[in-house]
Order: sequence, then structure tokens, then C-alpha cells
Amino acid sequence: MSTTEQSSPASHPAKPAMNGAQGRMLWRSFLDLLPAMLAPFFGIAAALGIIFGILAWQGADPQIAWDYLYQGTLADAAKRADLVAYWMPLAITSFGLVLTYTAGLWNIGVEGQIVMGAIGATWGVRLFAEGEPLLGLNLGHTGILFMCFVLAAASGALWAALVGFLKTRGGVNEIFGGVALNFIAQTFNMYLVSNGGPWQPAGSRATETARFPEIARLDAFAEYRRLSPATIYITVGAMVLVFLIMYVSRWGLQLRAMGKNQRSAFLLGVRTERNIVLSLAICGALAGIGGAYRVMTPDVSKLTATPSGGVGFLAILVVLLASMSAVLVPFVSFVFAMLSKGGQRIESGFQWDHDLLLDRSLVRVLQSTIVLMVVLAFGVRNRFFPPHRAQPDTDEDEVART
Amino acid sequence: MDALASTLRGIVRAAAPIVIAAQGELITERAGVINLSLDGSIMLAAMTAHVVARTTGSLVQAVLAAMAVGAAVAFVVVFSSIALRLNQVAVGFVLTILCADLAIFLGKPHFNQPGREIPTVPIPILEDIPILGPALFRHNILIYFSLILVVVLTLYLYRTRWGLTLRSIGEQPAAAFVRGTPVNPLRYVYTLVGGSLVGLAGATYSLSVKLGWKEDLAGEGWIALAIVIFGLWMPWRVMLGAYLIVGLRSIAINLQDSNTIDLPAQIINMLPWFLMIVTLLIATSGVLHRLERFTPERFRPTVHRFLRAAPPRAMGTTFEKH
Repeated sequence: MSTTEQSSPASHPAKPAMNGAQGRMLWRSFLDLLPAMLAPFFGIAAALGIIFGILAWQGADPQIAWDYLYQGTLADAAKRADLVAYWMPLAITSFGLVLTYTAGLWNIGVEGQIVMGAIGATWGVRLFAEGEPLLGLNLGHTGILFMCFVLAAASGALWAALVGFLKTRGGVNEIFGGVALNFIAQTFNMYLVSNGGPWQPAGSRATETARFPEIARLDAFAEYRRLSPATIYITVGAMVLVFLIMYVSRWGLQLRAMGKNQRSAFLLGVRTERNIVLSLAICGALAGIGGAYRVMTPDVSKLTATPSGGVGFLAILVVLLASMSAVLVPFVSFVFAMLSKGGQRIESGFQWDHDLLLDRSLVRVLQSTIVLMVVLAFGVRNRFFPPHRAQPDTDEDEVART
Repeated sequence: MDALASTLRGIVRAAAPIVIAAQGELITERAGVINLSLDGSIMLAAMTAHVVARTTGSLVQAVLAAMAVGAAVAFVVVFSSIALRLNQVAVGFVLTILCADLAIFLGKPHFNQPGREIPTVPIPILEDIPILGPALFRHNILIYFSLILVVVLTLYLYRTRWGLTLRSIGEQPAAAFVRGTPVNPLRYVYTLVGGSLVGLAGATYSLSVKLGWKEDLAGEGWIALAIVIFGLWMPWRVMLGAYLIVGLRSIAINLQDSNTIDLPAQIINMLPWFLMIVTLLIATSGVLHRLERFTPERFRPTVHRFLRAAPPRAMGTTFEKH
């Protein structure tokens, strides 16, 4: 855009001819953008087609399924508040992942970072709110909650930084390190709450901790008991932070450069090793806070056997679908949260009203099908409708020759 | 004696799917492709094998269907990588989640239904060898296959020209291409072979090891992936890794049941992942060289050969002719 504006005054005498050229350029850039704009639609249409096919095969009407989805998520204010409460851990984790994915890091360990965050938050409750508080500190309600979130963020950040150090110092690929640390975190969590583990209440057989004491519970809105204002403030704060990093700061630019080509970023003076660890740590801190939401949500208020509930992997899907764009993440994660939450209603609705077994895993199938189809659609676009470059490089001749 | 034999037999049996899946993934990664869809494809293949065996009554069809599922998933990974130039990890990751959920959704009506079992075929004379006989030669055909596969794959990789080609396209695809190797077609072939082995591993679960379709298979594929790394991309070591992990797991279960020793079973469950990280650290950082410096001169070549290994250099990259 800016180049055409700059070039027009300089070429005053040949204006009509230039206009034609400009028109062609505009048309050409439109043609370039068209496949890119259409790709997600084709992808989503293909995914919806597949899901409609499955629904038809199971004998369920897509319209009815949509109605149940709507009833379960958006129909009234209480449902919407529940949805927002469900959405926030997913959103804050996805914001964190935007940073690592922009830097070209596959932070598959985010699931474990959520679990460690959940453990950290519970640890905070145990330190400051149960029994004799640590160092005899009486932090009060706000202080305890603050410490819980700090511990959650710190645990998540440490767990993520470990992935970073393994990568930068040990040469362990972040995918393999992340997968391993996921399972270690989940197993550690299991150890804490099951089979007479240290955090399981004495005599209990349930694989969870006791409910947190009253003083360590998040305040909920008076009319919506699952939604807490504190979590909204923190999520918005995280969103602003990620926006600032991505679109304002120099550091965001460095991350982008690393994502494009880590070697040349390093040669241009970017401290890549430090940035790898740092971006992972920030992502881990946000994921840890997401984990804290999961255990501290007013209606949960305890550490369960699976505190993450798959939010981390879902967040990876969100970020892939949003093509790592911080602007798109809130919307995509909201739609995904809606699907996840609505799945329960779809299952129960069809079971009770239509006597039809339609497992809630269908919505998860839909989520990953959408991501797969959109990713494939972008692949088709890049392969068969490659964007024209301003300067044709030698690539095309080479391809033509071979 | 009998107890030892039956424990060993149980380990060989329970580890068979992990061995098969890990060898499949090994072939894929040796060819330079990461198929991260392992965990989901195993579940989907296991579910398919169970359902096909129940509906058609044919075990052969069930096994073939499971292998087809594994190969189909692998095809999506390799096609999107080579033809569409997409990130293998991204596609594989989405597929693993998709396949797992698809297996849970489609398998719901068949959940916890009695499954069909592949009959055990003891091998006549060999089964009478003390301890080893019952441990190795009283199984069904899929378990035998897991044992034979390791031998065949080792010979193939290190003793045949084709095996050399397979290793070369995962290490130096450009050099292999210059020498006239069709890199990308071979990557298709080996990824499909690896994928069908992953599918076969799924069938081994539902038709033999964990009869029927249950959703607790989640995680097995990730363990297989860890074991490929723990085995440093070598068939023998991958097999030993699988036996080690499964052996530890059965010890953990026994400990939990006996309640005599107060060792949390979770510590043993964490072990595969610790081992994986430590092995990778040793293999990829400079620790190995430092370790060699302390070993006596005489043993140095042996130690070196045992510990030296690196991931296939071109793993996860795409190769384009230029």
C-alpha cells in the first residue's frame, strides 16, 4: 500500500499509464490475497461437511445439535458466565503460546505447565491458608490469593524454563522435552492426590485434595457463582501484556525474527538462547495462571486428578488455527470453549430427548478437524496458489526446470 | 522358576505393541519424517480392529483394517509434509488429537464389549526350553511378529543396501539425491510402512494385550515415541527399552497390590520420561566425550559404540530438489 502512495507523485507525467499499472498491481495483490482469505473458509467448510456427515450417519439433525450447543452455552446470562469462566484458562494459555510459537518454539509441554500451575496454586493454599501459615504470616484473603497466583505462575514458568534449558544447554528438542515433562508433571500430580499421597485428605479415597478453606476461595459474582472478577482482570492483563510484546516491543520483533530464521536472527545480534528460555518462561507463567484458574474456580476449589483437563493441547489447536495471531486468539479460543462446553449439552440433549447416543467427544473431533482442514487448506494455498513476490526470485525457473 | 517364566512371558506380551509401534516410528524417523500422530493412531487402530473383529468375525480383516488406518494417518502426515510443505509436527500433533477423539467417539457403542482374541500358538519344541521357552515361544502370532520384526529390521538397516539408503535419506537427503536416490518417494514408502506398523500395534492391543476397546490406551503412543528416543533410533535398544519400561510398570503394579513396600508407583511411572530426557542429554550434549575420557583405553571403543548415537540429522525437515 505505502509503496504505491510514495511512487505516484514521482511519476507525475505518466500518470494514466501508471494508473493502469497500479490497477494491475492492485488486482494482482487482490488475486494474491484471495486464496489466503478463502483458505480458512474452505477449511472450516470441509470440517463442517465432515461433521454434518457424521451427524447424518448417526441420525442426528445438525440444526438440533446447534440448538443444544446454543442452549448449553449462550442461551442465558448464567450460561454465558459459565462459558466465560471456562474460556479464561484456555484464553490465557493460548496467549502465552502465541509468544513461543511466534519464536518458532513448539511448546507442547504447555499441558504440564498448566498442571504445575495448578499444583503451585494449591501449594500456596496449603502454605498460607491451611493449618499454621508459613512463618506465621497472616496474609488475609487477598494476600493468600495473590500468593497462590504468584506461586502458580512461578511453577509454570520454572517448568517451561526447564524445557528451554534442556533445549539451549542440553540440545534436547523442545517437543521431546515437553512431552516428557508433561507426563512427569501429571504423574507428580497423581502422586500428590492419590493412594494416600501427601495432599490427599486422610481417610479419603477420592483422588483430589480437600476443598480449599473459605479464606482461600476466589470471590465469585453474586449472581454467577462460577465466575470470579479477579480472573477476568488477570486475563485482560495478560492479553494486554501479550499485545504489547507482540505489536509494540522490540522484543516481539526479535521473537518474530527468530521464528522466521533463528540462525540469521542470532547473526543479527538477537540473544536467541536467552529469548528461547524467556519466551517459554512467560508462556509457562501464563499457562500456570491458567492452571490456577482451573483449581481455584469458585465451584472447584480443589486440586483434582486431572487439573488441566486437556486445556493445554486445546490451546495449541487454538494457536495453530489462529496462525499465531494474538488478535485472533481471543475469538478462536472463545469458539473452541463454546464447542467444548456445549458438547456436554449436545450429549445429554440427544440422550434424553431423542434417545440417541452421541458422545461429547464429537465436539473435540470437530475442533481438531477444523484445525486440520484449515492447516491443510493453507498448505494447498501455498503450494498451488503461491503468493506472487514483488521481485520474482530464481525459485520458479528452477522448479520449472526440474 | 515358573513365576519368573510367567513374569517374563507377561513382559514380552505386554511390551509387544510398544515394540511394534516404536519400530514403526523408528523406520519413519530414520527416513527423516516425524510422525507425531502415534498416540492417536494407535487408539484409532485398536478401536478399528476391535470393531471389525466383532462385526465381521475375521481376525485377519481386523488386523488389516488396523494397519490400513495407521497407514492412512501416516499418509496424511507425509503428504502434507512433502506435497504441501506443511510442518510435520503441526499436522502430526493435530492428527494425534483428532484420531484419539475419533476413536473415543466412534468406539463408544463398542466400549467395554467382549473382544475377540488371537489364538495362542505355542512353538512345538522350543516351548519346552526352561524359562525361555514359555517366555518367548508361547504366544500368538502378533507377539512373535514383534520379536521377529526387531531381528529383521536390524538386519535390514545395517546389512542391506536398501537399509543404507533408508538411513541416508534421513541423514543426508541431499547427498542421497545426488547419488540418484528417489528421496521423497522413499519417504512416502517408509512412512506408510511405519504407519501400518503403528496400526498393527493398535490391533495388538485390542486383539491380544488389552482385549477389547477401552479408552485407557491414551499415552501408550507417547511412551512408544519416548522409547524410540531412549533407544537412540536403534531397533535392539528400542526393544530393550520397551521391555525395561513394561517390566518396571509390572513391578509398580505388583508393589501397589502388595502394599509391603511403601514406594509410590508414580515414581516408576515417571521413569520412562526421566530416562528419555537423560538419554537425550547424554546423546546430544558433550557429556559423552567427557565420559569417554575417563574410561580406560581398552574399553573406549566399546563404550563409544554403545553410547554414540544421534537423532537422524534430517529428521523433521522436508527435502526439495534445487
